[in-house]
Amino acid sequence: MKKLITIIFTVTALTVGGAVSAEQVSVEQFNSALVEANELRKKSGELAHEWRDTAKLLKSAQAAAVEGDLDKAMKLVAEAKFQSEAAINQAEREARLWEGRVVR
Amino acid sequence: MKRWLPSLLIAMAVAGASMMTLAAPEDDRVAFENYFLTKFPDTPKADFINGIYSIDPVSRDQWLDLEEFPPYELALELGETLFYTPFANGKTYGDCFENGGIGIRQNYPYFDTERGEVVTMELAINECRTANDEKPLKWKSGHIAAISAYMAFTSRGQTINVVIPDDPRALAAYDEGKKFYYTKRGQLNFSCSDCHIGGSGGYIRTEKLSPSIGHTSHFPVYRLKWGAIGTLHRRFSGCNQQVRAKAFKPQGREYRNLEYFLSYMSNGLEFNGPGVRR
Repeated sequence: MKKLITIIFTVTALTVGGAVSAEQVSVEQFNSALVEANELRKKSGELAHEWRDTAKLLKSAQAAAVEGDLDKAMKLVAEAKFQSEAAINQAEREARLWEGRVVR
Repeated sequence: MKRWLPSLLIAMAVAGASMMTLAAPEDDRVAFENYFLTKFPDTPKADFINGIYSIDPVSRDQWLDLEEFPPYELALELGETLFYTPFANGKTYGDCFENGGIGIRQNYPYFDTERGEVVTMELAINECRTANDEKPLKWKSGHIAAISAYMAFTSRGQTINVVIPDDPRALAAYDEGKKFYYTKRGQLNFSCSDCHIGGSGGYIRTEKLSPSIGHTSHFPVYRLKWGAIGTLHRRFSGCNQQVRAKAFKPQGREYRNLEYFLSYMSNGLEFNGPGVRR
């Protein structure tokens, strides 16, 4: 993941190098959102509740960013973030509810 | 009287707590068994080792046809050959196991009180290899499933006897497996129990869902979907991915403890692996 983030910084810097400051902010926003979403993904994994496609979404987001499609990249990151937040909620909820399903 | 009464009460309380702790898994197993016996009154208890074929007459007929020339037979022959082929140091798998590895599968997984963890058949096979300076095999399919299939075959007809020793770590492993089994996970928000307790006998798309009791009796299995023989942890992994959860590592703590719980639920039934499934 760290390697890919470095790639994004490099590639996006090359792609948008010399562009207007508004675009540079978007790159920073993307990287910040990517890091945040990835931290949430890790947290859901630590709770043993990571969802199947979350890491794939982040990889796809990185690929879109490398291609310069930051809008698409941001949408994918948002989806990954949503998944991780839902997975964390699921872990917290299930910690309370699973015992109610035990056959007795 | 007054002097020793408190000590006696404490001793009774400790003994009682210990008995309660040990009784819980057996209570779970009896309730589990009764659930399925009530839900499927036409299925004899002993027949639950046949999984979905115990409750679905149509697929049972297809399965019986398959069993005339079972697709796992080649893997079984390969497993037998590998089992008896000496390692570079001249030893074989048989040297690593009680009774030369024959007829022992029904006792797996077991809780190793020295190590403080659950040991599955496949874990023991790979540990046998590394103890004999051989490279470990991949966990889910191929040679490890073939060797496991042969060892399973030698246990056919034996009674599943998974033991939870009087060790709080063993009970903790069982409880962790139980929690895993009943916990919803993944984007589809399904637990193992959702499909294989509440949903057993129902359908997911065109597939009828099997009852959990007897689930572990016939592994490893040749799955027509895989076109090969595979291990129980491969199946766990597939189930988790089907509900869009990230699968856990095969032979990691999570799946070993799940196997421990699930196998205990089938205690008293006959071991009949390897099997064939769709």
